Parts: sequence; C-alpha cells; structure tokens
Amino acid sequence: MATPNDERGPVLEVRDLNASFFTRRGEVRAVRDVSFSLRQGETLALVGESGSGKTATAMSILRMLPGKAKISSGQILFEGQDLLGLSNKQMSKIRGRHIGLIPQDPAASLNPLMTCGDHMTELLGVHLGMKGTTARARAIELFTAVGIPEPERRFDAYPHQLSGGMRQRVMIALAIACQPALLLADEPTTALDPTIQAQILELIATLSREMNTATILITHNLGIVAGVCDRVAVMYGGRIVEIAPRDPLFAEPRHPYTRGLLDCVPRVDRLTAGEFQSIPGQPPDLLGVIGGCSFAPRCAYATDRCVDESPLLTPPTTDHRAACWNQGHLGVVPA
Amino acid sequence: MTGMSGAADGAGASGAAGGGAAGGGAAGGGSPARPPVVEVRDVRMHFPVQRQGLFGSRREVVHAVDGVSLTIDRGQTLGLVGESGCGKSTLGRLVAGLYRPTAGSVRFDGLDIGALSGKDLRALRRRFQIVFQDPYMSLNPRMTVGSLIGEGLAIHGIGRPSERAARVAELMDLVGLRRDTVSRYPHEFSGGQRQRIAIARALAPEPELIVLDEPVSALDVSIQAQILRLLVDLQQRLGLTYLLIGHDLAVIGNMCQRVVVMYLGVVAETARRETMFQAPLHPYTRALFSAAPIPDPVSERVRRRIPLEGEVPSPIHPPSGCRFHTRCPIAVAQCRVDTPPLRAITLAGRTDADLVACHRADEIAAGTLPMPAGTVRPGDVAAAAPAPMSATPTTRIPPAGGSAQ
Repeated sequence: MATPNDERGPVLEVRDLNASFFTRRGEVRAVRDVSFSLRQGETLALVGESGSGKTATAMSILRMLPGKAKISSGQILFEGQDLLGLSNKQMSKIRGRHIGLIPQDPAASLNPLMTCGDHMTELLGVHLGMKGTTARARAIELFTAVGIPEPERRFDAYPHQLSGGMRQRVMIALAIACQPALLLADEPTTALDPTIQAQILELIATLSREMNTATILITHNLGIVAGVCDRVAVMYGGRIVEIAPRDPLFAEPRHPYTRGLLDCVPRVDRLTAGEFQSIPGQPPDLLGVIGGCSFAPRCAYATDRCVDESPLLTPPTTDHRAACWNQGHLGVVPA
Repeated sequence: MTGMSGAADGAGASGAAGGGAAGGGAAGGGSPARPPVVEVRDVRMHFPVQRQGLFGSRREVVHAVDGVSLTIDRGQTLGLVGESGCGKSTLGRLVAGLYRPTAGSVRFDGLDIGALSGKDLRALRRRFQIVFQDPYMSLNPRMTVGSLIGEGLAIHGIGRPSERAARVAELMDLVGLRRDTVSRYPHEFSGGQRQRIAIARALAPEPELIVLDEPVSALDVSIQAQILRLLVDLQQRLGLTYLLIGHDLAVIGNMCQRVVVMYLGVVAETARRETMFQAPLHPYTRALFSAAPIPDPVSERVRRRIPLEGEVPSPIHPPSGCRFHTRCPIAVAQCRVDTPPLRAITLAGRTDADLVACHRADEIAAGTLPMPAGTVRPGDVAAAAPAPMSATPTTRIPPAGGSAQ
C-alpha cells in the first residue's frame, strides 16, 4: 500500500458538477455547481437533508444516476481521469474495483439467492481474476477484516440469515475487497441500531485509515460524523454551502444553515425541557432556477442581497469556505 | 399505586417487572382520586410462530414482552428505549390496546383494557391514540388529508358531518398544516408534513394519551426538531400524556420525565430522566449512552465506548438468568443463573423511583468494579462539554490482521 503523499494530486476532484432529474413537472436541478476534491486517505462527510443533492452527487461520481437523470456539465476527475468521458464498459471496470460503494440498505443490495461467499467470489473473479480456493481464502480474510464472527460459516450464509449490522459488514467487505482508492458510503448506518451504528462508522473509519482510502461519508445527521471524518461539506438545495476541516466546522460554523443543522441535533450531554431548536420552513423546490441564496427563505439573517444574488463559496483560497453574504457577522440576528 | 416489584410469577423471570411512580413524590398521599393514566402490571406478550425444520415444522413462542410493569402519570412523558427486537413497539401496542396481553394487565385510567370488549372498549379507545414511525406506510394513500384526519371523528360518531369539517380545519391549524391542502393526498406531502397529518389524525378524537412509536426516526434532523417541538407544544396546550418509544437517547432525554430501558422483552433499568442521564447503572444502559453520538469532535475524542460482544439473542429462547449476560462485559457466574430483580440502589442522586436489574449494580455504583477499558463512568457523558484531555481516538474493531493491506 502506498504511503500518504501530499505531493500527489487528489484522488478525486469534482469540478462544477451539475446534474438534473427530468420529471413530468420539469427539470429538477439536483446538483448545482458542486466542486470539491479529496486526497488519499481523507474522509469527507457530505451532509444535507433529503433532496439536498448529496446522494445525487455520489451517484454522479459512480455514474449510476437513474435513467431520467443526466449530468449536464462539469468534470469528475478520478486519479486524473475524467469519469464523464469514459464509456459504460470502461466505467464498469472502475466501479467496484477502484471505487467502492457502501449503500444505505444492505438488504436491498444483496441478492437473496446468493450466499455471502457467492457475492464475494463473484466480485473477486470479475475484478481480480481470483478463482476457487484462492478466492474463498481471500473472501474469508475480508470477512474477518470487517469483524464478521465465524467467517467460514458465514461464507455459506444467505443474506436473510444475517442481522442488519452483519449484512452491512458484508457490504463493507465487498466494497473494500479490491482495495479501492475511493469509497462512497451512502447513509451506511441509517437503517441500523445505535450501538451497531457506532461500530459500523468506526469500522469504516478504521479501514479507510488502514488502506489509505479516500472516503465520502454521506449523512443527514451532522452528529454522527463528528468522530469519524476529516472534513465536512454541507449541502443545501443542490449546492455546497459550507466546506471546512472538521473541528472549525463544528466549533465555528459560518453558514446559518450549518449552524441550524448543528443546533437541531438533540444531545445526550445537554438536557433541556423539551426545547428543540429547529430550522423553520421546508427545503427548497429545485424545479428550475433559484435566484439568490436558496436558504434565504428560511434564514434569520437574510437581507435583500441574499434574495437577489447567489453567494459563492468564500474566501476562495482557504480551506474553510461558506456561501453566505453575512458569514462575517453571524450571531447578531436582525430583530 | 400499589407495590410494583412483587410481581411473583412461575416463569422464572420473577422480578423482571419494571416501573415505579413517575415524577418522584407525586404519587404518594395527596389525592388518590385519579389513578395514573396508564398502569401496566407484569404484562407479557407471547407470539406463537411456526418454524420450518428438517423434520417438519415446530411451534415456538417469541417472548416479545416478558413481564413489564410501568405507570405513566397524567401530563407526563415516559420514554421507552431499546434496540430492535427489545419489545418496545410491542409494549407500545399493548398500551394502545392493539394487542390483548398473554398475561398481566394494562389499565387505562383504572380500567383494564384486556377485560373490556365491544362498545366499552371502543368508547375507551377514543381516549388513547397511536402515531407510527413511518408516515409513508401508516397513511392510506387513497384518502385525502381531510378524510384521514376526520376518520376518527366519523368512527367515534363525534359531531355532525358539517361540524367535522370545521374540526378538521382546526386540527390542521393546530399541527401547522395549511387549510387549503385539505383535499390533497399523502404522496403530495414531505415526510415531516405527513407526520403532522398522522398527529392531527391522532388528536382528532381528543385523546388523553398518545403512544408515539418512533415518531421522528424516519425524518431528516431539521424536520425531527420541528415535529418534536410540535409534540411538546401540543402536550402543554392540551395536557396530553405521552408514551414515547425510540432508540435515540438524546431525543428521549429531551422529551421525557422518566425513561425505561428495555432489553429482550424485560426492563433493564428505569429511572427519572436526570438520574438516567447522569448516573446510569445498568451495563446495557451505559453501552447505549457510550454509543450515542455527540455532535462535537472534542467530546468525541475523549469518549470511550463500551463494546458489546455478539448480537441480541433470539427472543424465542432468551438467555437464562440475566438476559443481557451473553453480551455483558462484566457478567459473572451468577448472571447466567439468577434473574436480577429490579431494585433501588443507594447512591447520591438516586431514589426509590430509580430501579436497575443488575447483580453488580452496587459495585458499579460504588465505582469499585474494575470496568473494562472503554467504559463511560457516570457523569462522563453529562460532563462532556469541551474538556480536552490527551486525545486518543477510540478504536474497538480489531485491526484487519494485515489481510486488507
């Protein structure tokens, strides 16, 4: 395994990505001018509500958007190569081999008629040409690596014979089987119990660290990523509205939406008498063009400028950027 | 209320009863006029299942709820926490009168729900309602918002049809739905708005108790907070009593006066909220707390998790003795044999209303127990405000043994 080397270019660089869903109501612009990059071994949390564009961004990277969706512009440079320029056949050699996916619902992603071992040996055969006992041995090694007890026995188990947490471990084993350079985890713990959730998130963090894999962790809950990511990108209305290293993002969020999201998460270490902070209103309708800042209708700091002009991520050259006209003076809510 | 711990029963799980008067002191003397809204006494719910074996099928029994007692006082919120399969939803449905218990009793305002039937039961049902987790599944997609909300009124014959329309409009205002959406269908609404429809529907017959079964688990965090605020607001305005079922300790802790932690059909620990959050004693409760995420990297760096070995055992053949012993990091021989009774522990901040079912609770309380590495000590969670210590990241999963390199 290569050692971390900052001199090398980023593993992934997404530039000005735009993607739309074409529905009966019209064009829904799900991803708007999204740009970010990811270094080897780095974990980026992509955070946002339903419809914020986080999953559409990940699916664009995998080129697995559903049929009615299209990437309209932008570049997705993976190890220097633009994925958007590849043929479907070339892309299928990258998916699963160089980019791994851990889905939200492992039950829906595993074939109920195939054993865990079948899934694994098929994958190892297609991508790495492993067969027979070599593939089996490697599969058991991988099952062990993700903490599946009695891996020899589980090799012959069908998905329905496993618990949700164990199925997700199988999915993780499949995702890392070819030691991908990039791992996408789409709400990997949403379907799991809290004690299992903590285990799975730490497993993903441990594995990415050990394999030096760049990881994108998609979630709607900022709370769960505080312990397991290096950087955070917050998405709203199809755009990245704030991106920063983890600690400054949590300590000094600059976008009102990020602050709102943080305040929304109830905490076990801060008991209140039913005082829940919420963000008023509903997420925006992404049909057509949004003039100005898409968060303005829900924002306590919004001014006329916010309604008219769309803010860009600033300051552009730093590692903590926010798309907000008022980011210099958050904290003073206009009366 | 009468003595709640002497739930003698032959099934070997004696004392697995949980409960206690909610809100210390209020239950004692004063006015014995009104019984608690809900009084559950040593309730059991067993489901027969058919299991296919090699030599034909066998009948077996799922012990979903196995001897639980609890009370909920008027205007209070009781939180019921546990992981999948612990029996919390089954208990919620028992309280909502959707199941008839295999044994034990569920009393609503002093009346035994299990002993009623027909008209009497229907009349009582009006006074307690349930809101389910998934607003995508629990609302009939072919009914309009108006008919969904008004259905309860029609079923219970409340008001004339003309009055019902006005009442529906009133309910829509109450939960924050626009009146002009009354003839729309559920699919036209977001998850949060659907849950508002479900809440309005539950409120329609003016119930006293609402069982909330994971009401926000399927929603985005910002919407979760909106719904929780709505629930708190409605409780204050209408004097509602809630049984809130959930797996998110942070939500439970910020909503409830009292918390019950369930594990495999029995109560592991029950305490007033402050006690539960400041000094949980059951190893399972502590493991749950240690796994609850805190949205603060500084806190996360200093925390230690309690690893739980293995998986939740099958409720068909629950473990002997303490049901948690197969996964407990501090189990001893006695735990495999004797079922620990729910009992009070003498410790500053704890009262007789705070009960725990663990043989080693005294040692945990005294701090004399060499807890395994990764343990959260009482107060650690509560004190997790920025207190930077030498930071070592928590890692519990054994390294990948080189195979993944």
